[in-house]
Amino acid sequence: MKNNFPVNNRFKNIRESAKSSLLLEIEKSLKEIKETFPDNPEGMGYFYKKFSTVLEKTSGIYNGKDVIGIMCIQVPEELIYAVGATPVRICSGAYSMEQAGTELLSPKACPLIKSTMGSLHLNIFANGIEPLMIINPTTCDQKKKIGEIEGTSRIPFYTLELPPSKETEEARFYWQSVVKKLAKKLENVTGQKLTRKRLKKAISIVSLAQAQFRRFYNIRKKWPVILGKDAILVSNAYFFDDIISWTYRLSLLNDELDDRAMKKQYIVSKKAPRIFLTGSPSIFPNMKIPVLIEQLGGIIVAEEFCSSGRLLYDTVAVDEWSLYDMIPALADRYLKPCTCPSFTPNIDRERKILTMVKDFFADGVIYQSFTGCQLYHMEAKRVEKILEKYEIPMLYIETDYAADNTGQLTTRVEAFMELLQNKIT
Amino acid sequence: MRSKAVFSIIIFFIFFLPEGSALENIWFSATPPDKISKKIHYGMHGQAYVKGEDGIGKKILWIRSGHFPVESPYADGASKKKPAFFILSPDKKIIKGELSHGLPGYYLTFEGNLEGFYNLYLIEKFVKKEILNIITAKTEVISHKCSRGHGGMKKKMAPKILKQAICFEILRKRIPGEDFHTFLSSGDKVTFKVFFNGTPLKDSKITFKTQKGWGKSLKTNINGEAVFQIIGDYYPDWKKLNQKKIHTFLITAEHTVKKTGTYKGIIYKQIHYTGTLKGCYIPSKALYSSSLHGFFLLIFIIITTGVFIYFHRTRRRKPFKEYTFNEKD
Amino acid sequence: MKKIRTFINNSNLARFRFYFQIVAFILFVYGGYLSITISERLPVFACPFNKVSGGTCYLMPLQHQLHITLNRFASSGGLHLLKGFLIFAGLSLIFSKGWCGYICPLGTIQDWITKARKYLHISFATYDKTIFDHLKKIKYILLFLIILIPIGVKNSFVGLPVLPHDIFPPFCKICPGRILLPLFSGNTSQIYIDFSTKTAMFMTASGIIVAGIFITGAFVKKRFFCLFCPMAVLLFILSKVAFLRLNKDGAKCTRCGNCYRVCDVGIREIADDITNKNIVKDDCIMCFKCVEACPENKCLTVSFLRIPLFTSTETGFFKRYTRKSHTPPDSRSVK
Repeated sequence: MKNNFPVNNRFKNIRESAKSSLLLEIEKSLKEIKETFPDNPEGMGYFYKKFSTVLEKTSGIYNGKDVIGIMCIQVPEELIYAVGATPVRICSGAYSMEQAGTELLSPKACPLIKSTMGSLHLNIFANGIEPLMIINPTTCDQKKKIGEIEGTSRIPFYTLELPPSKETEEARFYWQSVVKKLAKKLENVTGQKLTRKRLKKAISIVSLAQAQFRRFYNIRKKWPVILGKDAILVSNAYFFDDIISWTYRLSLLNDELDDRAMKKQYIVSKKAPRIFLTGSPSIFPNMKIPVLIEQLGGIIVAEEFCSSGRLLYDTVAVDEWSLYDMIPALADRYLKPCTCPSFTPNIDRERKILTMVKDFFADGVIYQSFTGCQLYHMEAKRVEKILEKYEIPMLYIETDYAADNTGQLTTRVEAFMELLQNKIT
Repeated sequence: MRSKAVFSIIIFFIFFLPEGSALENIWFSATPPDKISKKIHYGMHGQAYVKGEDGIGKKILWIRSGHFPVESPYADGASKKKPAFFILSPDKKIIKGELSHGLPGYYLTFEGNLEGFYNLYLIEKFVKKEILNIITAKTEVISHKCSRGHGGMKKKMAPKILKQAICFEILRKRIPGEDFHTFLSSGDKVTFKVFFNGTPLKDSKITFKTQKGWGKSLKTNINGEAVFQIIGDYYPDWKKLNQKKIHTFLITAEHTVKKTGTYKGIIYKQIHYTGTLKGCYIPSKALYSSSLHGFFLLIFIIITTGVFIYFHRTRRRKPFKEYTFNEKD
Repeated sequence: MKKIRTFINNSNLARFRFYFQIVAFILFVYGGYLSITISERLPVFACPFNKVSGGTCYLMPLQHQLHITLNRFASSGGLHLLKGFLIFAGLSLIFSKGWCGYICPLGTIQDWITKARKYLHISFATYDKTIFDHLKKIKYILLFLIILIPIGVKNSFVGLPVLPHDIFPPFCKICPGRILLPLFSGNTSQIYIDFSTKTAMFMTASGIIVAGIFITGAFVKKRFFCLFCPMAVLLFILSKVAFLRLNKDGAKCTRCGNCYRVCDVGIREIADDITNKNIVKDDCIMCFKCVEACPENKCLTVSFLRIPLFTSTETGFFKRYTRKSHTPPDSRSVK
């Protein structure tokens, strides 16, 4: 859906100021992440650099390929790779973008939506990309509607119809036909035919990334050799980095972490409280909660965020390597194991949180939800009850991208950490 | 349940022997005289048997005289003397039996529990016109229980002769792949071998007769063998067709030797040996079944279902066209 | 020991299964050439109409043993039936449903037909869930008829006339194995229609129709016939106490659905059931494709007499999939 709006002086001014404040925001956040913590792994250097140069139009990063903007985690990326394009996730964590978005939405809307809207409206994306289209799955109600709003973006939106349930066979086959339609649309938009070989290769490239991600996940499970703030950064880099170099760099980081684990070079003491994060996703540069927790001496062992812990966890199981089975295999992988609260029922999320808390030996759970996010807020009580049964304390925080309520937040988190410390000792 | 199934064979010995007259031919038969025909059943292996008490089945074979299976008479009346008989078990041992008299003739009982063929021999000797006639009637009786397994088929199926006691004998060679469940049918080529004193006999006259009397005579070759093709002679009305109807064929072989001697005080100058062997056959499958029809039906079904599936898949690709409503209230 | 276990868990079980099936096929279809008779009470379709078969499928002697008068059930007939069943049960207990997935010649034929379809890049068919639930019941009906009809041929029920003899043995007459397995030893004698009586005509024609549908069905649907197989019911009942087990640890399952999607017979319970330990259903053929496709450690395990043989592992999953998708060996070559 193309929205025509005048590129007048006002717009240009807003854009310039937003861009410069974004740069400042990125710098500040990175500084906090890098410098307030000693002994960051060397492999992180690549990722820090990626973020410090995120707004620069680095030529050659996508090898001249078309870029397709995606949102959420239900869009089958392998299809996009197979038609010779690159998927870039445009979910934004920048407070500076939120202002522009607030103009188009209400102030009570979810900060992630406002921020994404802002970046769409101002056309400020990672690495200066110019997406051919934006694929927007119909997850939460606010995500659903942003394509309709006048003045959102000049880039055409494609609505990906996500079924509201993932349990039934009807939903499964409906979603498979939606993905097939998407494949056809992608062929149209990029002008490239989707062939068996290309899709097979795409699946294998993404599965290599999944393998490294799982390896990273398992390292964090066993030894406290990397802090959560770095892990989230690594996952967030996946949004816009070239997948092959990302996989390579992550494998180097994994090797380094394995090495550290062998030498018992832990980044926090064994007694540091192990925190599990869940809820609305923390996306760089909105890293205040993870940084806060770790500055207070805790370690985030795992997150159940769609921006990090859930990102590449699930796998694709193909039975017959032909298009008629590879495309439904992708569709099934992106639907059935997804624990997004936009699905109902969502028993899988409860089970996942419990399993992860147990596997990672978490001492406590911090559940964050953005103001204006109904879905995560509604699930919070259920998650709390389940964790209570297993005697795991949970802290519920409602937050947004603004940095001003840090004081109150700090107090609450501090208190929670103390509680956990007392429990440990 | 008994650990040993008592396996009895009743041979009704019906002997028509007017004073001084000679029997031309005697042979074992499974077809009963009318009086007790209702009690006869045919089991899975084509053997006639009578259901006995205590679950013991008794197999029946009658002795008839004559050359034509369908017309040979049963002799009525009492016998003059008991003929000699031998029973050869599957493990090549001569076993004992008991020959008793009842109506309408003699019957023989013995215990037999082994898997394989029991050979039954009946020998009749008499002198007529200075010729000593020795008539040997032979039949092979199957003893098989599926529950005992089907291993070692070749060994169990192999035909045997009784050299020690029988001087003139006919043997049926097995067709390839034959097992206990095989029935000979019209159109099969069967080889018969004639033995004299234990060795194959050449140039012996051997005659094959079907149920209705159609027959052929041959001379055995240098190996004592002759091949006959079973001629089909069963042409019933379609409605009365019984595809498993068991017919009898009769093989008769003859051999004459010039020898002088006495038998029971009577002088003879020649010995005339006659041997008989009975077998059974069923109508050929070609009479009522068709492979061509079967084959065409198979191809037809594969093609039809294939075409159906193809069009079903093509139709599914077309867009959804019409809504229909159910008119029921 | 651990090395062997890792090697097995990372292996390509599907390829092992392919070769195992070939060996089993040769043994059970051509075993007669070497006078091999494994058993006459086999839990797989080794058809005795194939003269050189390496055994006999249990359904044939079962039908013959039921072909007796009712009074004999209390004596020798009943004992034979029991003895036969015990031998069958003994064989079934060893491999349970593994007989279906790794040994059954009809199953192997269906897998070969599926390979042909894969080669031609023709898509497979899936059953709608409601249709699937109805079709599943056919095998129970067939088993019921297998038991009832032979008894009905020898005895009359409640004064009704006995069934015609041409209907016996009922399952052998309609079984596709009778027509297809002898073809492998060059024997086309079972492709015929017997016109002598109406029953014979109906039964032999049905047999040919079933064989034709078997071929086309197996072409479009993976393991088409296994949904209707009465042997599956018998093996399922005995699978509860068998030596070979397929167990699931529900706590480790993320309900990702990989196992369900690769399942040839489409059993949903492998993915969704997170409470039961034994997940072998009546349709399961124990091919263990689900274990291969599971990416969670120790979620699905194949065990024999409580000794775990093959279990799902994360590394195994990725190793198999990188092998199958022919991923370039060195992904570090770029940038």
